[in-house]
Amino acid sequence: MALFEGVKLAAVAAGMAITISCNTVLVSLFPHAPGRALFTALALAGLCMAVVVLCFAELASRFPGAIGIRAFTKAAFGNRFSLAVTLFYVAMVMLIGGLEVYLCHLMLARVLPGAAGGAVLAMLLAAIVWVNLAGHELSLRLQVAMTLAVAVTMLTLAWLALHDAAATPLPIAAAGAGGSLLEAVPRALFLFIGIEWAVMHVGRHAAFRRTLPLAMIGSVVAIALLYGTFGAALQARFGPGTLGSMALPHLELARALNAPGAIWLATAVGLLAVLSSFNVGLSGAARILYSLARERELPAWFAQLHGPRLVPRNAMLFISCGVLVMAPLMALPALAESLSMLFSFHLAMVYACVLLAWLRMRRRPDGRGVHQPLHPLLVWPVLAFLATTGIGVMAEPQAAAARMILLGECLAIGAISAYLFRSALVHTEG
Amino acid sequence: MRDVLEQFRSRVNASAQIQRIVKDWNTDVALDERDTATSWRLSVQHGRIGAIDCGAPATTDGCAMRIVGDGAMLRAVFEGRINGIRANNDGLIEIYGPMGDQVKLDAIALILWGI
Repeated sequence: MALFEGVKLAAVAAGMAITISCNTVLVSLFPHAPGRALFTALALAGLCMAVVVLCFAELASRFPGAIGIRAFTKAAFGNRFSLAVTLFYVAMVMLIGGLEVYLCHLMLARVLPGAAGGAVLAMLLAAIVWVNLAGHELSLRLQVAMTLAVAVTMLTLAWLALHDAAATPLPIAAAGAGGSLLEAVPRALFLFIGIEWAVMHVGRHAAFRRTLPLAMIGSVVAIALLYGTFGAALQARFGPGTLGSMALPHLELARALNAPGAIWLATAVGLLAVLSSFNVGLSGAARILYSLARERELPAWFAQLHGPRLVPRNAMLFISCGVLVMAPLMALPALAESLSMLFSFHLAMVYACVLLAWLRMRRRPDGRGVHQPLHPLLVWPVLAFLATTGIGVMAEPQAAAARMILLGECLAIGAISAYLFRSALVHTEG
Repeated sequence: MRDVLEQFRSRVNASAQIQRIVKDWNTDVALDERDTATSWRLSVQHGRIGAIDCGAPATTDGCAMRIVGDGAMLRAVFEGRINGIRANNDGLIEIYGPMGDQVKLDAIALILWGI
């Protein structure tokens, strides 16, 4: 039972982390971490992520079944800050969904003629939204199969690229300087995004002790190896100058291989990854909005249930519309260079909040909480690293467009929070 | 606890609105009282709550859904004095099981008590 549950949790964790946007972010690492430095960046980001997921596992054992980010931050910092962080997280999910849709559009436009790409994309998105609105959930086996298929196909492409006789291996570039590596690690963190969602799928409390931590740590290692191998193949096949600007590196790699069917294989990988992550992201983010509405923190409109399967349709439609609004933003030329910075910052800030929550909650006794092998002396440096590198990345000159998006996001969340707490504010002032 | 659950059963089974939305719901819900090491099993068939059994936690191992908490807290949730989702997000009760089952129980609470 524990083994089956472990496989399920690992599949959920890895399935969220394998997306086509991760490939886009992966190539943005190369200018900062070329050659073998890529593995160093992945290892450092993986270590940070290991600490983060252990904190998630320990905190989640105190709140089984709850919306993790909401429950942890509420217990640690109070309702208002928690609501702002939770909305920030939802905004991040919508931004990532927008990027996935935009990249999917780019990918289909390259392999299908004329308007066929747009039509296929519209059909795919409509299908995912319809499946979710109808209340159907992907079966566990299908989720595992899709995750495995994507991972195996990426490894196959990488293997072909590394062993292609026609390929002219490029010299391995020198490892980046320390400063570059510091810029690479927060970007590399994005490659592990969503692993923490596995905590929402735990079926029994005993799983928090070993099954969940092992599944998530295993996923971190598997993701690091997968992207490390894929990154090595990309660097072996393309010149250093061309890599940083690739939106769809897996498709470019397939094209460069000149192998029949490789492009279709790469397209299938992309579509599977989008289907899997978009589906989980849509239902997960809608669940967060539904839960907040049932707590009476958001308008009751988000908690309305529809259909025979009692689906939170309004919350799902809101997330879907948000993703579709974000998608064209991702096409902005000014944002092309700073996408990875935007997402790295979001992720670093969210994870920093979770680590801070862990540091606070560790001091409070709780009979049900399962302690993980973590010490504050290990968590503090990771927290400081995430905070400083996350802010540092956003302070870079080329992140101007990303800063504007972030500003808009913070203003929107601030306005929503002020509206939701207006009665408390008026009361306090009175 | 039994009287609370029996009253909950009679109200759920008597409500036409609830029966309309959960008519295809078949599951077993386990309620574990942490402080007394007692477990309750609610058997749901076609949306109607049938037998309410009591035993040790091991007797409810096969249940698809499980709610764990102190006896007083579980009673408060099934009497409609506390919002289950808020209690869950506040760490007062633990919930394990499919999202669909959780939403159905939540919808029942909303209809019965408006919380």
